[in-house]
Amino acid sequence: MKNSSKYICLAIVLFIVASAFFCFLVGGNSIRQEYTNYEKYTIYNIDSSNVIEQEIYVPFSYIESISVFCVNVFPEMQGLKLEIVDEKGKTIFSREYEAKNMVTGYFSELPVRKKLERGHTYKFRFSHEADPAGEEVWGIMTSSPEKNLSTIRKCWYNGEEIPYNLALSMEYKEPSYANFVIISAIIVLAFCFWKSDDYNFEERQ
Amino acid sequence: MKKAYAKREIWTQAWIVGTIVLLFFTSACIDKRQEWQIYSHIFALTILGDIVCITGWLVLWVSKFKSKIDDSKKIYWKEKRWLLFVLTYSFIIRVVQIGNIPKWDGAFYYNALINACNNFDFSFQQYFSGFMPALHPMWGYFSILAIGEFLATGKVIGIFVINMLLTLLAVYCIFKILERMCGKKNQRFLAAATCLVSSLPVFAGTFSNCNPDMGAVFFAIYFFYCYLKKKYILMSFSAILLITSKETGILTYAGISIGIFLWECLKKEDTLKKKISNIVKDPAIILAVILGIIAIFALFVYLLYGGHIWSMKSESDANMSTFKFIPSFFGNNIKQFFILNFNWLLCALSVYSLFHIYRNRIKIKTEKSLLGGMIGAYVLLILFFSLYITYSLSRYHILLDVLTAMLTIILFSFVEKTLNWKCKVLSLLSGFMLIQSYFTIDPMSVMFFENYDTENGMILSTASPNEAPSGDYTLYNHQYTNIDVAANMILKEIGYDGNMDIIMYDWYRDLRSDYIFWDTKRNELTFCQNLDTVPVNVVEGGMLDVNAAQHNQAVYIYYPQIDDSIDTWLECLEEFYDIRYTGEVNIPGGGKVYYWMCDYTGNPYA
Repeated sequence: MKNSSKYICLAIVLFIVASAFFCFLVGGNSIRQEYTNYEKYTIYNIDSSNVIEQEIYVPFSYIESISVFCVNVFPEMQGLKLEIVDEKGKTIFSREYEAKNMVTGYFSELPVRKKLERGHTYKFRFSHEADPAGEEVWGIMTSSPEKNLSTIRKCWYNGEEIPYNLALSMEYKEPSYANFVIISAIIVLAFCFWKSDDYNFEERQ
Repeated sequence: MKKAYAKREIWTQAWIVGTIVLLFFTSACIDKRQEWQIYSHIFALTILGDIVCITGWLVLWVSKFKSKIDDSKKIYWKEKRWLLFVLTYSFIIRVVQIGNIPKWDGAFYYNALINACNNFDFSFQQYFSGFMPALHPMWGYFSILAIGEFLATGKVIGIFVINMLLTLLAVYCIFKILERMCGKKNQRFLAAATCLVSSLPVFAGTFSNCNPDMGAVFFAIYFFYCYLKKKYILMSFSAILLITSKETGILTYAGISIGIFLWECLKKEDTLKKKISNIVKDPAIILAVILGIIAIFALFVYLLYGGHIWSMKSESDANMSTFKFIPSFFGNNIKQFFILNFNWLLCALSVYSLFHIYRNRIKIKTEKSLLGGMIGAYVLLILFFSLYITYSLSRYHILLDVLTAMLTIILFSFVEKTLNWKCKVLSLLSGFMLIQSYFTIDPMSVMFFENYDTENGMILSTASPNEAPSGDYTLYNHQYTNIDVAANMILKEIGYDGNMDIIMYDWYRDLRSDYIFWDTKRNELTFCQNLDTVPVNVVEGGMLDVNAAQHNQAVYIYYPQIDDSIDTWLECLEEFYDIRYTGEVNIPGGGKVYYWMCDYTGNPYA
């Protein structure tokens, strides 16, 4: 293979990888929810000794973000920790979200960007490592189960099942194969037919 | 040696026809294997036919290897790499549509095919009536699709595979036709040209929908190829399939014959005697006369025995299914022929090429008889679609678009520019066409047609001004499938199990709940009813009233392009339902779809 051909192949592969990244993650089809009737919610406090866990059935293979309704949030507070635990009890995701990036009294979007097993249930565990000297504790909204997302299952507060669910909404993504193929096809078209005259061997022959 | 080659060629063609017929019966037998005792004689004949067929292929295979002629015709991968590139390209740009289900009229035709295959009892009467949906003469195309459908009933994949094979064969034929008909060319030019035809938005974008117009395109292309290559048995078979694809197939063949006839008549260099001799000897014309006589006789007998032909007479529109010049209808169709889906670029390229050829006095050396046939079909189809009053659907014009592209490429090939420059032009057009196949980007189409904001792009309607802008009118590329993609995601997210209502703006057009089911295991809409499927309980949003709710839960699905006030709908919805939460599906480059998950609160008027 000639050097020029090698570079062309390499360029094609690089462009296709870039388009795959774009179409499968950034540009995939997404679905998200939003609550409309807030007044029906109750608040559970999370301090350093409290943990709230929500079981969620995941219908899509990639979770982009999770939105929770928090109250009593002050910028100087310790962050909110989110852990995702799979059916075997293994923690597959853990991240702390800074309080300064969250808004009290509204839904705050927590980026997750994690590939999950479609059709499985996961526990989304929220906890907070409070400053012992601090007085404020996080408040997280819950709603009655019958008014929640269809994919929401049981909820536990400090290990005990409660008759509420967390008020949260999810954003899922699905890869867009069509977009990927179109972009890749255009890249290949461009490289195959937009060569300079130097490559036009057949015509010269 | 030549005689032996010709003989083998005839046998090969006959065997291909026989194999296709046998494939139909074999797949039907596989489908009906549980009832083999009822159709034992058919099963025996089919098995016998299969044995003869396989033996025949083996004999042909062996004779081919023995023949010395073929030694010089060995095909090397390097020589054929551009053809393989085009086939791979055509396959890849369509294979992503796997999983789409036929929609609107496509759903109707596919459901008719399922019923025809399910009820098939190997009798002529059942075949004749079952494979004639909406009274369209579709026996040819439906029989070919049935091969896949018998093997995978209701799963769409069967017709998807058959359509893919037909498409790849058509793409191969287009490559070979252009190879013979283009002026200065090389393999790269032919590949770029074929990629352009293969990427036409209405050809590539509507691939996964089931409609007879696509069949007419395939068989017309096969006919051109066989005529060109003098494969007269296959040509006759293609002609039969073409005229039994749809009424427009009959018209296409009539146009081809008239075109060839006129070309022979208008030839300057021949004497009158030679002209008559050429016409009488032309296989396409002989076949047209034979098929014409048979078709007229068959139609006469059919009508005599009380049969009906397709005619959509409408009380609200007395002009429907009549020949009439209506300026708005004519104008709308002309826009579709020459503007929609970057067709204006093809037309501009044709005008440029013609001007260039005329100015430089370039002599066109091509297969003029076939060129006459293609132009004949093109002109007749344009006249028919402009004057016959029916729905203004762009899928009716797939063949016209393909012919426009092929004729443009043939003219363009005679332009005296470097092949490299011409390849660049064609590949640029292919790129535009490919993007337009999936997303509406053509500014001229947006300017000339009614367009609707999807909040993430634009969708057009090819409807005449007095027609509702939804359903099949939006089927000019692949963007129409967004509604199904979104519906699948929404029903999956809400965990649809059949115990809730789905409220949509226009249920009849948007989710054919009389054909489509929800598979709770695979989480997708399907035509295939089984133990895992539940009915799709769709309630029409436009008729939401006290009697609408059948279940305690409902999901209301709304997409912005329906051009209706969401506030009015929500007010109406909130009279009967308590909204639990809302959601949004975002399809990049396609559109947005919103949904509201609701609980029924009762009838406030009770």
